[in-house]
Amino acid sequence: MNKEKYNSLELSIILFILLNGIVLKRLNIYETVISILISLPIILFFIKKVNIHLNRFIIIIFSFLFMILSLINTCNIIEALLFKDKKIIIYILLLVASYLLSKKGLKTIVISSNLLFILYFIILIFIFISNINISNIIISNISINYLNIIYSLIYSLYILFLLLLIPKENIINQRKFKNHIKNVYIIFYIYLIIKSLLINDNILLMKDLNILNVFKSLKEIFVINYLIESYIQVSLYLFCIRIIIKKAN
Amino acid sequence: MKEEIIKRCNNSCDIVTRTITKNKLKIDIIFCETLSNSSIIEDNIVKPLIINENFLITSPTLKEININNTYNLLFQGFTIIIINNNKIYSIESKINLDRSISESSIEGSITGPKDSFVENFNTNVGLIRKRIRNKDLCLESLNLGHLSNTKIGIMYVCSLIDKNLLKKVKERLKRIENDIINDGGYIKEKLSSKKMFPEINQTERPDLVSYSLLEGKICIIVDNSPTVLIIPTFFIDFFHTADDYYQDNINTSFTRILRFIAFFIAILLPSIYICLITHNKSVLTDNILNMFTSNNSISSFSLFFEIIILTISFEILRESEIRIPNKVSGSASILGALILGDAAVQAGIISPIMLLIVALSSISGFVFSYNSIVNIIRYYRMFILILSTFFGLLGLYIGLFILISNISSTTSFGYSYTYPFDPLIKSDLKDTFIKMDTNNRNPLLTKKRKR
Repeated sequence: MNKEKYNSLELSIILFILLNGIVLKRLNIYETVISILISLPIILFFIKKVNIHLNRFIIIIFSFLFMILSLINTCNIIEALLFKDKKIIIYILLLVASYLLSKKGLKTIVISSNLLFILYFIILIFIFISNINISNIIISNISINYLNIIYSLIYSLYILFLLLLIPKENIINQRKFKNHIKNVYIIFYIYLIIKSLLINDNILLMKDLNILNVFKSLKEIFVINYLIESYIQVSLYLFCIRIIIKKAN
Repeated sequence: MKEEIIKRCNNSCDIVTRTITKNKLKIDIIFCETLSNSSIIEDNIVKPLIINENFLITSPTLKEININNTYNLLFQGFTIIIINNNKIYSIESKINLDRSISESSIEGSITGPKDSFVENFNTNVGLIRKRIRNKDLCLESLNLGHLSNTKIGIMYVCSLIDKNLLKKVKERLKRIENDIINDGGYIKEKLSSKKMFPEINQTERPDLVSYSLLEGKICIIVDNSPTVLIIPTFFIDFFHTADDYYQDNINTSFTRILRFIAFFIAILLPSIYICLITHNKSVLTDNILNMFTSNNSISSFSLFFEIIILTISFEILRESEIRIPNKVSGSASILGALILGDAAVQAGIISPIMLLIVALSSISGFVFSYNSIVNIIRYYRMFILILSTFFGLLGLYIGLFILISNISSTTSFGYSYTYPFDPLIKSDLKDTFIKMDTNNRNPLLTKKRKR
């Protein structure tokens, strides 16, 4: 893998994971600020230790758990909005597609995520605009839910965990890699603050709109974002599990 | 010696011999009458031989050869001259069996050059050379095909080429073990890996080949083939034509965007229609949904069955249109398009809206002149259609993901197929969906970035 490929590799995975924050629970501005303040030192500590060889067993277990969680999360949304037949079909389709992608290697996962990211980002902007609630900026409720802070904290570290799934031999420029992680976290926190100020929905989907008198609801179409997230994540987990098992043998 | 040559040519009836005796010299002339021009032999060989004794010494085109080369040269249209059963000479007397340079039939041009490659190796090389009159344009040749012994030319600009790519191409060419190489398609198939997307472009336009050579690509010219292979090829190349560079940027950009839209319409339109009408009705407004469903009630078959019938009939029509003689093709089109289409709607086999959907999807596929990408569209249209029939929009999305993953996993001779999106080269994005003036060459292929 040459240098150009490596650069796009880390960026695409990081950006993809960053925008996964769309499924975060709603945080108010105080909760967001507290969670950022707590998570920052932990992340900085981990960035310094990012090269340390983690225990393979722990990675496999966590990869497997996160994969199941991602699948369950996406399947629930799809079942509610898109496909009302048996749930097992959604699991099978998604798993088969992700398995096929993971088998093609890390480079293919990266290129696919890069190409899908363009689509993902356009839809995300649409969803964001349709969900903006200006009245939310006036903060009336100052009560802090500590569960939400913990959730956000775990999520921040979860991004770091996903980055650790990239095999070390594919990272040529360690300094650049760490810089990317730092930049991504800055964008992630800005995104979190804007979201906490403007949006107050738990699961964000485009509201019912009448477009050109042809479409009345685009929820079914924009559910593709959850599918893209899950597709890339599950294939990354499967790839990681396969590589670790291969190395262990 | 003459008898031996004729015997080793299995007494072929088109091998003609003549014997001239003059001043103790016995001159045997052997040639293949189907590949040689008899008037050239008469005027340029026999007559001078009779008149001038020193012809064999003075003729600049005459070459002395050994008996092992005789058979090769004989079937390349050379005339073999044997002096006193001792010395063998060859002289070129080829007959022109090729058609003249004509207008491209597949890759049409509106404003650009109209000439296209023919079946003659030298003519094809000449068509490229007259566009790039530079000493750096190299041509290497080799013969492939155990029995056909076909001449293959590898052309590249030596100051721009990536040496590893050249080495890789040569290695793969050497591995080809065919009895016969009739066309560039044979080589294209052997050089490509088993991936679905085409890794090599095949074109009949010399201007496109010369442009590719200056990008740092390699071109393979095959004798008897009216097309030239371009190595490597990227996915974006199928959305560009040579004509793009002869028109202004705004018009070209508009056409390119249309091509991208056409690509997705060709693959996805029938599937989207099926999804929205059968599985995910809540997306459409009631008026539109009622309009579609009332139209569908005309037909007694299921939507999937209707699409399959229409797609298969269209493919049959398309195939027959290619094979059918020109004189009857007009009547075949009328029969297929008007009578069959209209009758099928009247008989209640298909609904008019379905006819429209399949027609629109198929016409969009014709935007591309490269056959390989048309085949890809056809394959994925069916694949995604089946998935969406069973699983609705979920199936369509999964099909789309698989399409994208297959594009991502393809490489052309080790180069990423998705250039310039991955690896991302910002400056080269100017010449992708839209066309803007750029003076840069593809950095993957050459180190000389500036044109």
